[in-house]
Amino acid sequence: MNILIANVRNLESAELKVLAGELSKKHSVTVCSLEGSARQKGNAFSYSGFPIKYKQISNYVINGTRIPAYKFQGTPADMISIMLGNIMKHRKPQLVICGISNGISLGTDVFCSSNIGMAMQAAFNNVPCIAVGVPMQLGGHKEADLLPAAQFIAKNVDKFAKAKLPTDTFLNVTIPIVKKYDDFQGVGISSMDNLTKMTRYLEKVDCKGNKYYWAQLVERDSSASADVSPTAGMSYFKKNYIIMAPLTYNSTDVAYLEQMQKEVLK
Amino acid sequence: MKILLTNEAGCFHPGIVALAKELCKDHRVCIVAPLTKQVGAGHSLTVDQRPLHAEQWFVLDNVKIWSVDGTPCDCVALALDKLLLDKPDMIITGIDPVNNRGNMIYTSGVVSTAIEGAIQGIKSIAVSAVIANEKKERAYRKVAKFVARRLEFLAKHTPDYGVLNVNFPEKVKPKNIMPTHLTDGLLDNEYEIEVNPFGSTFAWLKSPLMEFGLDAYEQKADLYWLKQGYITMTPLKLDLLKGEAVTALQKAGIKL
Repeated sequence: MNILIANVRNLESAELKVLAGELSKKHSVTVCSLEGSARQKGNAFSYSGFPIKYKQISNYVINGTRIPAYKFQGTPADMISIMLGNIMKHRKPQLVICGISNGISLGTDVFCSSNIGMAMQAAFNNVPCIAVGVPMQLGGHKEADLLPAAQFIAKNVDKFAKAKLPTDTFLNVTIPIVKKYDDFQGVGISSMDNLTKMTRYLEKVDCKGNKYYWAQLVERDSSASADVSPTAGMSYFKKNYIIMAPLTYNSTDVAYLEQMQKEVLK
Repeated sequence: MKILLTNEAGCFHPGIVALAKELCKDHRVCIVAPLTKQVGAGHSLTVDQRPLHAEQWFVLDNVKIWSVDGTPCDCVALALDKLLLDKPDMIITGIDPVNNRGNMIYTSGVVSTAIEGAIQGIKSIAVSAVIANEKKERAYRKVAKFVARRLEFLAKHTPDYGVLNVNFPEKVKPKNIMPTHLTDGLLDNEYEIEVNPFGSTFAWLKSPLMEFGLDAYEQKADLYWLKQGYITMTPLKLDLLKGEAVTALQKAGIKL
């Protein structure tokens, strides 16, 4: 199978290498990555009138196999758009795998997540797509820690590609870090809603007396107006279950719309 | 009402200024918007790259203007956490001179800021229009007047934990209002590859906006109604989980 793996950290990151290593054993894999950090870029797109710089890496080798690799300077969504719209236009991948992301996207985190942004972009292009994330580790994970997650993806890759999901849907797969594959307890389908992180700021003053602000992600304040309830998804995840959530890019609130139509068109 | 205004085009953009001038007649308004143009910024946030700076500029008709040297969503998050003294009752984003409909909403800073506002628990409305002469404040006046006059109506139809995406057609007729859903359009971006004199490769986007096929009009969603000259209103939810896909996913037999 022809698979595209996309990552936002860099081509040398353990997250990308472990996944590409496992998948390239049986499949034809192409990898692409951004240069430098690109956290929380969401679906940002360079409409600015500037072109996107990219480079094909000729000597990218994993486990002795040479793999086509590209690195980009742009946004995550740009990268997927160029890969599918130009570089792989005539040999479209049967599956796009975004990740493994160092950090998971729960609830409304999906709007600003770079990994989900890439997955959504692939869904816009009508290519089956999964976004894979593991809990965040500052500085990145070791390859050995990520191996069980990569093995799970490699084992089910055909099923992911052939799952007959609606065209506006992609999968968000959240995998716990375990020591060995047997430690996984099972696979569940669930929403991971309402346990989202909020952006708050740390205020500081520089040597000239100017204020500046560092963004930090904190747990949602329980006093926020939306009701907060821990979902089943998260409690199972903590017991080493892998959680899959089918997400759509069509966010129209249909029930609310029907009510609105009745009132407005009266 | 206390209203926070923001956009993706910058804090001095005529679209946001026109809106502020109309809204400040009856409400307490504050602008917190990016310092520079951030078209296509989507929901990006400046996190571990660098810190943010905010600056307060002149006061226009009682409207305080703040700029933030970051993305549109940085502006909302920073305004709510640090810059504003009181929590606003409502966030209005725009006026964007380009319509944000269909799947394009995710790359739009205007809709994304409204989503960020809703995530933070505040009623948010995204306003976009079709403005030929983007630089002229006068061109936005009709849309700004409509928003100010019908604010109560718009607020009433904004979901509590969601966003109201309002698009205006080229010729605004205040009576033509249509609540409708997002058009599902597929993306087929084309790029042209160029090698510069230093031997580096670049990809140029050839079609700058999402192209909708003919079937997109048949869906009779926002794209169709805008073409028919209607003001479209689309309620957006924050939970993207697709319940209908669960059965298909179960059938796929994904297991350990």
